[in-house]
Amino acid sequence: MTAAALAAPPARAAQSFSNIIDAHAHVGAMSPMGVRDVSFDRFLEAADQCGISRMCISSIGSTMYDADEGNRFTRELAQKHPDRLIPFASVPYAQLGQKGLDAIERAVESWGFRGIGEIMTDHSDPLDHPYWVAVLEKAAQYKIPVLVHANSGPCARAAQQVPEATILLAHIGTGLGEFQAEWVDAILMAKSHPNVYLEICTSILADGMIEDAVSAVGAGRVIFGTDSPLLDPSVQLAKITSAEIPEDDKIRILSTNMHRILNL
Amino acid sequence: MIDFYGFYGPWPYWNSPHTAPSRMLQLMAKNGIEQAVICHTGAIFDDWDKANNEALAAAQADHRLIPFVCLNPVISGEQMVAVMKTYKQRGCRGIRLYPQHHHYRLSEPVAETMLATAEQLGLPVVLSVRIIMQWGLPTLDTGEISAAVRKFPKVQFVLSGTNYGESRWLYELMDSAPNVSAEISAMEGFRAVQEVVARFGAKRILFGAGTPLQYPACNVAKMNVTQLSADDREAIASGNARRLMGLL
Repeated sequence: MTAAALAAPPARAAQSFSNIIDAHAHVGAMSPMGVRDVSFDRFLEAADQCGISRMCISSIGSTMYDADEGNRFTRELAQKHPDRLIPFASVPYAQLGQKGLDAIERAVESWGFRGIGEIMTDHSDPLDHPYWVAVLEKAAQYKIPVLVHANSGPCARAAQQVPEATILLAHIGTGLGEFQAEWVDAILMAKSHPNVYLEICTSILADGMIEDAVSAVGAGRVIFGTDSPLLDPSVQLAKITSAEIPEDDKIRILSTNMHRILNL
Repeated sequence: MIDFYGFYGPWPYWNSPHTAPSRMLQLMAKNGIEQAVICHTGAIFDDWDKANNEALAAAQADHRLIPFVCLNPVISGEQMVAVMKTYKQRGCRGIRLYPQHHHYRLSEPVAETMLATAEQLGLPVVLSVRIIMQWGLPTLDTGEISAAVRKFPKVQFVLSGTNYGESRWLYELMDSAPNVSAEISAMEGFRAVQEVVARFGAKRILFGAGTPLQYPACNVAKMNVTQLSADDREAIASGNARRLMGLL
């Protein structure tokens, strides 16, 4: 790399884009994921460096430990930063059923949350389990998106069961280590399930991933997310800004798709 | 800038659009990468010796490519020593080992012969927890890596394929083994490069991108958000790689 390029400001690639929305970010302790905690200030600073205007946030606590406690924490932060944070409500598997649905109802109806998720499914509790399907039905009822960490098979079956739900498939369908190119399967699945959107944050940096997703489902169903502060937002942003796709498609992915989905 | 962790040749796991040599070079240029250390994928997934010789020939023909070879211990230790000396004479600058793909352990006699010969020839050795960042790919046991780097303290090892889940192990190993450096192509955690540089300094960290299998821009972005002096930036971007490969 040339010296001039090395000296470039961090968010140089994003300067031509505005109103970027991160559809997948977290707040609260990251240590349950086995990594160091990141202060909220550093989280915000990293978003600023990338030119990210608004972040859809859920607390790790609400996804993995206690829905009400975690959602309450999300609410407090969103109230302090209403111009930056868009609160999503989540619920851990152990609290599914009526208790979990009540927690989501409280967050959406009383606290004004704009989405559901990230909800963490696994091989033992897949997305097409009746408990999760009930969450998707709740999202459809409220006309809000639901961000799901799931693999493509259960996601396809759940999407068919609740076609009115707007499902944001987190990590472009990767992360459960099911097979060697999970996103390839997720892209194929999304092609035939119009209510599934591909949210792109993942540790995997496979060249061509974004181009393949756009080619298969159109840029209107590809969504920018970062998983910050687990992952580094600059890395996820570079996938979109460097992808060999039209600039208009990058704008859809980074901004307009989520504006539309969230009715902003 | 040198991508210390590039590849050359077809990719067997999914369609990768820039694996043709001309497209790879275009991708490098687009991202400001002047040179790439390459290992032929055929040496991992097909005829290892034939593929290594192709990589050596490709690098002889184009100075932007720096050849590493991948060794597969399906021959005797004595034969392996002879092969490694030939590779070195033909311009090989280092070795990559993928025991997780070639079904051997680093503690086997022939593997130890490879490491001892690398020491004798002054060739750095790259060991990768995973070949590139993808959860479903075979992994190399970290305990096996730790044992090897401690048994061969005069070999310069570069560890690769480490993500946030391996960071504590990597840090502990680097704390106790000064012959270990790390490349960044799978470090996806929040400000991961900043963290590892803060802990170990810039001299033991190398820019790697996994070109052309991974988006190079993602790893360039890691460099751009890391606060570094000009000297440290140059060391990570290329200086450390040149030093390890004897290209200074």
